[in-house]
Amino acid sequence: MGLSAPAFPGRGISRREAFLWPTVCLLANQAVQLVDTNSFTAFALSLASQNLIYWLACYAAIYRLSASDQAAAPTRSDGWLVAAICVSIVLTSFLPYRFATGLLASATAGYFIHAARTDRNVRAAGIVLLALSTQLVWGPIFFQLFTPELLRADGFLVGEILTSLRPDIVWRETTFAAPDGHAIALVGGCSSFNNISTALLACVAITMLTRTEWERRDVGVIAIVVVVMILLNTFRICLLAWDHASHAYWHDGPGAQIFGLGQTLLVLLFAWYGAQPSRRAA
Amino acid sequence: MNKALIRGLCLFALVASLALRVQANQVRVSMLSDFDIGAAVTAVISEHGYALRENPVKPPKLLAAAVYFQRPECSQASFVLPYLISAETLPMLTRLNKPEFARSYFYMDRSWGEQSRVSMVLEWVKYTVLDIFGASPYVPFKQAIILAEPPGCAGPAAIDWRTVWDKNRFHLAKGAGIRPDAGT
Repeated sequence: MGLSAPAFPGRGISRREAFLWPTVCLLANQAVQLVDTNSFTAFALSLASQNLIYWLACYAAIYRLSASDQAAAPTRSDGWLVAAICVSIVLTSFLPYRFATGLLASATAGYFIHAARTDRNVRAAGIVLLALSTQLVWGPIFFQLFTPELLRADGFLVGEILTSLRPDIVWRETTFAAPDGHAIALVGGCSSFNNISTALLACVAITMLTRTEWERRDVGVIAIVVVVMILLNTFRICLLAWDHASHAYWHDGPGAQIFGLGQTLLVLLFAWYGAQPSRRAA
Repeated sequence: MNKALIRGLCLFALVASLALRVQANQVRVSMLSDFDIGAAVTAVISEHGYALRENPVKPPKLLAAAVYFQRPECSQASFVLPYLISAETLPMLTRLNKPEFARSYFYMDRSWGEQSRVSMVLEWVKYTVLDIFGASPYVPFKQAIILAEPPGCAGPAAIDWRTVWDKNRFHLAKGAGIRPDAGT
């Protein structure tokens, strides 16, 4: 019996369905950790504040798996993976940490990419799943270890800009103090790292929704998106440091929603533009 | 195995994992919202017989979380500042404007002379893993404390700061916080 022959334990279902089950389990378990289930109101509020790009990426992963070869049967290793991931998901659901599902999602993604064979849809789904687990688990771990360094880098950019625009604002590493007594200090949520992480996920999700292969120019698009995210965040922090009224509007007032929406639309626009087939390829 | 059985098992895995995770999340959220490190620090200081002093900084400022206390042998009040283990403490301490104060960092059962984020994250990982098996004596909460003391105090205060994260203390405090009329 060859390696690609149908085998235990998924003889009855297609390879596509066998891959869809653990993926749906993983995404559903990750989603549960992103919503507040303590009360109906808290649940509704947490739904309203969801990261739309995250859900777009979930859709991209499911979409690509659904588009994979329907006729292919699961191999022995596919069957073992599905069984192992499903059992692991149940066992790790006792742990209220994102790390466990993130680790399983990374392992599943690695398997999809490795075992996709000629099915490019499975490989694309693996790439999106890997990006999702990176955004939810590996990115936050990296950020936790290097928060001060990343904040200092953001503070440096903001400080350099404010030095020329508002020399009266006193800048010391990650703190900015205006002469009228208004002062801000950068904390974790201010870092452009979070915006970059979401923007990269958007690029991966939209590219893999549009096509199943990477192109050389994708690197350029991603680099541009990263630079735009850093500049936007720097601009926002400059506004927060400017004076009290500006801080109240852009941090606590309608400006925060306007900025967030504008940023999301810009990221999606860049990602969508970057994912279009190049003229040479067309 | 036939289709129906495989699908049934997968569906069971999905539903069971979601039900268990919702339950585990609720327990964790409840634990995190009940853990008040400021109150724990205050209680530990009081238990050691030191007099508490008022913090001149008021909420919502970040430094309002500092707990001030007076040691009889010190000329000025010492303070304890809780902070997230991933945060950098230097800007916060600079704003407290006490550069001459000696600083010690405490997180669960370890202490450092200067901030060591990686060591603290490793401590957190260690006790989180132990907590999964019910073997951690501490609540694996990601907040550490800095003790800052004025010069001439003859060493740091003789306080066992480990009890701030002590699980038994946490459960006792949580139990004491329950209203007598609640739960019936």
